[in-house]
Amino acid sequence: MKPEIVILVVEDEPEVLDAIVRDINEFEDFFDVEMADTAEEAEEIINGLPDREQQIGLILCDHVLPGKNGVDLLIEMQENELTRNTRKVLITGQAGLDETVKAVNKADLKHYIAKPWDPNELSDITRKLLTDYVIDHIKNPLPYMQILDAERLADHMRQHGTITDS
Amino acid sequence: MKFKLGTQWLDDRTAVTRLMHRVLDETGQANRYLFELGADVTLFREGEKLNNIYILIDGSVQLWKRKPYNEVDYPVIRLDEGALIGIIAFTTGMESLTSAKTLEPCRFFRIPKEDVDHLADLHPKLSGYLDELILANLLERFRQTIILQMKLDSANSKLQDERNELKQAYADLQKAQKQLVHQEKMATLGQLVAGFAHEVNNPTAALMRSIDNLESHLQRFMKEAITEQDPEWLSAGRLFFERGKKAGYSDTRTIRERTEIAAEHFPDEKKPRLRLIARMPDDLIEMLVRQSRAHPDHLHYFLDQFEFGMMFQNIESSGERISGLVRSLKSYSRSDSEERIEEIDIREGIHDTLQLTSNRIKFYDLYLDLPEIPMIRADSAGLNLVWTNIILNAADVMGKQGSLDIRCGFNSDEKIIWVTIQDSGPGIPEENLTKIFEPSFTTKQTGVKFGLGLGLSISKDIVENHNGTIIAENARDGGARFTVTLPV
Repeated sequence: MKPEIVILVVEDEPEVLDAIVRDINEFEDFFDVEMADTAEEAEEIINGLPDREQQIGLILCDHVLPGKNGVDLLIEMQENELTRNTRKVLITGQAGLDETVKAVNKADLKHYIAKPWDPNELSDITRKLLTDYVIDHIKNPLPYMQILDAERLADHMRQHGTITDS
Repeated sequence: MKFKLGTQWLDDRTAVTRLMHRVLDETGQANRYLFELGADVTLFREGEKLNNIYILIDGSVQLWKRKPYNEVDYPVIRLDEGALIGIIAFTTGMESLTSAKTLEPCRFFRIPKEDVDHLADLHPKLSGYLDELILANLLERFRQTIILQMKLDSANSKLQDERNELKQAYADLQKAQKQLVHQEKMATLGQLVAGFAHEVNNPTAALMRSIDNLESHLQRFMKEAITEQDPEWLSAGRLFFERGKKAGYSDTRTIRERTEIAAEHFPDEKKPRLRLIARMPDDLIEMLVRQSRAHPDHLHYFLDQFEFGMMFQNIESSGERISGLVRSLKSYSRSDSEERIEEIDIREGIHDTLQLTSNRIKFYDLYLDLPEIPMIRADSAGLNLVWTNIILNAADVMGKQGSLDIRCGFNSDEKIIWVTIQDSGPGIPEENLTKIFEPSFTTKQTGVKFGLGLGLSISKDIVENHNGTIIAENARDGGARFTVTLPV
């Protein structure tokens, strides 16, 4: 069975794309990692979501892409019902301040990672944002205890009565 | 009014004063009016009312006028024998416009105002002389005024010329200064680039060497670790590694489609592994299917080998990209060359420029038609700046979509090489076509990213320093086209 939550990685340089995907390898047992090398390709994946009965929990997106750029893609996703809740991260070597501010204001950017990235930081951010997403949007977070922030998930479930102390 | 003395007195007014002297002597009144002063004595000051008229018999007097804004007196006119001093104040009754000061010991007739009419009545002759003297003096002053007017006029036009020259010189200086600043910037950049290239080359070389070593070590390690195993298995693993190194790069759509196909072959595998299989060519997948049927536990070993290979491929291709960029940067800025003017193939500079601006132009369809052309003696770094300016300008107007068409050629009749760079942007408004090469012309509203809006003006200077030409025009099929010609 396919995982319910997708992590979408958008990056046009194949070596870099490979490296990012490899660095979030540990999440692949629980999440479906999808790759796109253009914003247009990412849009196709997004449009296919209803058929696949999946949702995008997290997008890691490069800024400079051929065609539509990363910030514009993130803004589009913010305006799209299907992807409004997706946690959005920009991984980039060169988004100017203006573009970044635009992403924060218009796309609810959650994090900005500068290239070259630190794999531990990437993994920590991925874990944190996916935990946020699961807490906010997934009815039964239990299966994610193994891979995400177990303490926060447990707190959440305790407060919402999914598990009890007794 | 009668002129008893003809015109000679206009030139020699002392004759008149001598006649007046004689008349006054005859009447015995000369001593009463005669008046002597030493040098440097002030006769009267500007602004005073004059009660006397002075007729200069000997010596000379300087008239001064005070400048209102700095209170400094400047000389107006020098009066010699035969001059009437205070003539304007005397005839108009107004305050004196000037101050009068003797330049040497002087003798005057000083005649009180009220005496003038009286004297004229008493001595009809004297009245005639006085009239003539006044007239002569006024004519002299008038002549002086006209001369002054002419001097003023020529001084004015000279001043205007000088002002224009100064303006031009200032503009030239400004341009030169901006260029100097720019050159200095480029020179600094060149040094930085040379240092940077050197610094980057070392770790890159170390990286690349380590990768080579790592590869051979890994192979040896594998061989020793599984030495008791089937040699066929070992060589198959080696094959997967080698093929991984040559896997190349597929676009993400292809990978996704092939991942689904791989899933049909290997329904039990998870997605990361399927994605690896998706990167394999068909014959390798077939081999993998065969191998894993015979030895299901070997599958992961082959996949690992393939992924090792792909990682090596990534490192090598990334390393080569770094070296390539550094090489382009060095040759672009000519930081490795002593001579500024060299025999060059300008196409190399164009390629370097495209490489270095790739992050701005990778969105565009690039059409290159760069056939072989004669080498020319030129400043390569300068010309690279020209290509860069034109290309980045095109990128600025086109934004994220468009095309660039770059061609070159050789015109053997005119002995010139030419380069055209055409974009698919909106073109240049007619009214700006002649202005875009002027310094400080820019259409960028805010936040100029590079330089001072000087790009095209500097480009023009660079091309003209090569005795070449640069023109901008709008192509018939839309877009701006820049044409640079350089003599061979």
